[in-house]
Amino acid sequence: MTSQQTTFQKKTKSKVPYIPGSRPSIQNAQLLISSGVPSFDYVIGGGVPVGTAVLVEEDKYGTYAKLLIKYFLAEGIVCGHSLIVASQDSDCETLVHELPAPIQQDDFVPTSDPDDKMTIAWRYQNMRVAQSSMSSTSFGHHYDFMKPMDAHRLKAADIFYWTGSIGCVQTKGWFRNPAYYDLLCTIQHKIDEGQFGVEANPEKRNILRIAVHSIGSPLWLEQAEGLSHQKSDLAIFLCFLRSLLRSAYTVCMLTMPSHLFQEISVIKRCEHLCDTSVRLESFAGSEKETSTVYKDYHGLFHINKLPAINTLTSHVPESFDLAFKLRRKKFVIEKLHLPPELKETTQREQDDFPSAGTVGCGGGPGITNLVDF
Amino acid sequence: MATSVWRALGIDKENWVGKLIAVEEYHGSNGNFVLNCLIAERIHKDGAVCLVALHNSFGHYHNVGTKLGYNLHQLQEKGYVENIEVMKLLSGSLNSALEDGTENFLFGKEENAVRNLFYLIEEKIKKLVQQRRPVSLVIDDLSDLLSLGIPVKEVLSFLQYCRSLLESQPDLSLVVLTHVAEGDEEQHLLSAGLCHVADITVTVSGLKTGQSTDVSGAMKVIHRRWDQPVIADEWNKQNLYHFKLLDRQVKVFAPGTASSLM
Repeated sequence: MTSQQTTFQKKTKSKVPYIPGSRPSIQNAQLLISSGVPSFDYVIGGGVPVGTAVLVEEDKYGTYAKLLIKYFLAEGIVCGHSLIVASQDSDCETLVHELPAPIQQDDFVPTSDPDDKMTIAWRYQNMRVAQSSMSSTSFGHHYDFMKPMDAHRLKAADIFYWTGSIGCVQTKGWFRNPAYYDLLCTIQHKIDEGQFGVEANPEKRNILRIAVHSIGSPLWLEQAEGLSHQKSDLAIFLCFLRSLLRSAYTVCMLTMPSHLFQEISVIKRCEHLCDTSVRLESFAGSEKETSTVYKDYHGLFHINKLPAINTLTSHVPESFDLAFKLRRKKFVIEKLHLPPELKETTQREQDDFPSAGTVGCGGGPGITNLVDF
Repeated sequence: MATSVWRALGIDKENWVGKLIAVEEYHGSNGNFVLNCLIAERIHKDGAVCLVALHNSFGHYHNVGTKLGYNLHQLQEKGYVENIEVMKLLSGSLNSALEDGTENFLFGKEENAVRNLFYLIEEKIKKLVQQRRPVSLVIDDLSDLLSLGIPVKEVLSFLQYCRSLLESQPDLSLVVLTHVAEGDEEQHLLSAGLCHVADITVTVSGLKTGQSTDVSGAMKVIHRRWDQPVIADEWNKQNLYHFKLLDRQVKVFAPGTASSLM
C-alpha cells in the first residue's frame, strides 16, 4: 500500500476546525465568534477570539450593557452554541425570554429584476461579483428587539441558568463568597460534560458561551463583611475563569457595574485579567443627554483593552472616539461625529439665555452686568 | 524580528547571564513582547528557557514564537524548554476539588502556594542547568500572584527565593514581568521591590496622550551597573524609546521618529 512514501504533505486548508458561527481571523488565524453586534465585532478586530473573556463596564443604569448581553446570547442561540447564563441581579430565564429575534436577510434586501440588468464595461463582465456587505456568511446577525426570539428555538437551545444556587461546597478557603466558587464549578462541569475542552474529542465541535450579568454588584458580596474583600474575590474569580476559558472552546462576556466600586484598583485588575475590556457611558441621566453635540447618539463607547492572544500585537481600531446608538432594529457602534453646526444663531442665543433670565434687582432688562444685584 | 529590542536593552553587546531583567508593564500597555524577544535571544544563543506562565498560556508563547522564528514545542521535546503553566494548574485544582476534595499540590493551602511554586521552579531549573547551557527563567506577570490573593510580602519573598537561584546556578538569568495600575498600592509596592533589585529595568507604558496607530507605546530602559566602577554619567542611565508592535516584529525607535512621521 505505502510503496511511495514522501515527506511531502499536502498543506491542508486550515487546522482550525469549522464550528458554526465562527470564522478565523484574517490577521492571525485566531478563531473568532460574533458578539451579536456586527459593529462591535468590527471595532474590536473582527470578532471575539475563542478562549477569551470580554469585560463590559456597565453604563449607569445598566440598560445598554444588558442589551449587549442579550445580543451575545441571541447570537449564540442562532448559531446553535451552548449557553450558560449567570446573574444574581436579574432572573436569567426572563432574560433569555426577552431575547430578540434575528432579522432575516431576505426581509429587507430587495430582489433585483433580471430584466433591468445594468450594462457594464466588457472588461469587468467576467469578474466575480464583489461582496457588497462585509461577511454575509452567517457571521453576526442583526436583531429586532420588537420581536421576541422564537419559542421553539429557545426550547431547542442548550441553556444552563445559574442564579446563585450553592450546589458546590467549597473545600478550600479561596473565596469568601461561595457564589463565585459555585459559578466556577458550574462552568467547569459544563465544559467537561459538553466536551468543550481543547483536549476533548467530540463528534461535533461546538462553542460554549458564558454570559455573566452584573458581576461584583452588591448582591455578590458576603453579607457580614463590607466592600473590602470584593477586591480579592473578584480578582481570584477572574484568574480561575481565565484559566478555564483558555483550556476550552468557550467565550465569556461579563458585565460589571464598575461605578459602584469603591476602589479603582479593583476595576483595573479586572481589566488586566480580562482580554477585551470596554466601557459604556450612557448619556441617560447626565447633562450630555441634552447636549446638541451628542444628539445623534445614546452614549459613548470606550475601548480600554483589546485582545492580544497568540499574537504580539492587538488590533488597532481606526478610531478610539466611538459612540453607540440604539435603533429599533440595530445597536450600532460608530465613530463619533460632531453634527454640522448649521444653526449658529440658536447656539448664540442659548449662551445668552441664562444671563438674560436672571431678572434681578436693579439694572434694566438686557443689561447684563455682574455687579448688579 | 526581535533584534531592535535586543539593541535597545543593550543585551546585544553585554552578556546578561546572572542578571535580573525587570519588565514593568503599566496599565494600558502590553509588555509581553519584551519577554518574547528575550526568549528569542536566549534561544538564538542556544540557551534554554524555563517559562512560568501565569498570565498567558504556553500556546500563546509558542504561537508568537513561530512568528519570531523559533518553535517552543519542538524545543520542549528536545528538553531545552521547560514550562510551568500556572493557568493549567489553576483549572486543575478546580477539577480535583470537584472530584474527591483532595488538595492540589500547588494551590492546596494559601500559605504553601508560593513555596510549592518555587520548588517546582527549582526542580525544573536544576534539570535545565545540567545541559551546561545558559538558562533563562521567565516569569510572566508576577502581579497575578497578587490577584490570586497572595499577600505582597509573600510574593516579594518568592522573588527573593528566585533571585537566590542566581547565586547557586551561575548560568542562570532571570526575567520578571509585573503589571502596575495607577492607584493599586500592592502592585506599586511589588514593582518597586522588583525594580530595586533589577540590573536592567524596562518600563513599558502607553502613550500619555492616548492611542496611536504609528506608536504602540513607550519603553524606558534603565541600566544599573553593580559590577563596574561608578562612572557618573553611566550609572543609572535612562533611555527612552517608542515602539511599534507588528505581527512578526517589533520596531523600536527614538521618540518622534516613527516611520510614518519621517
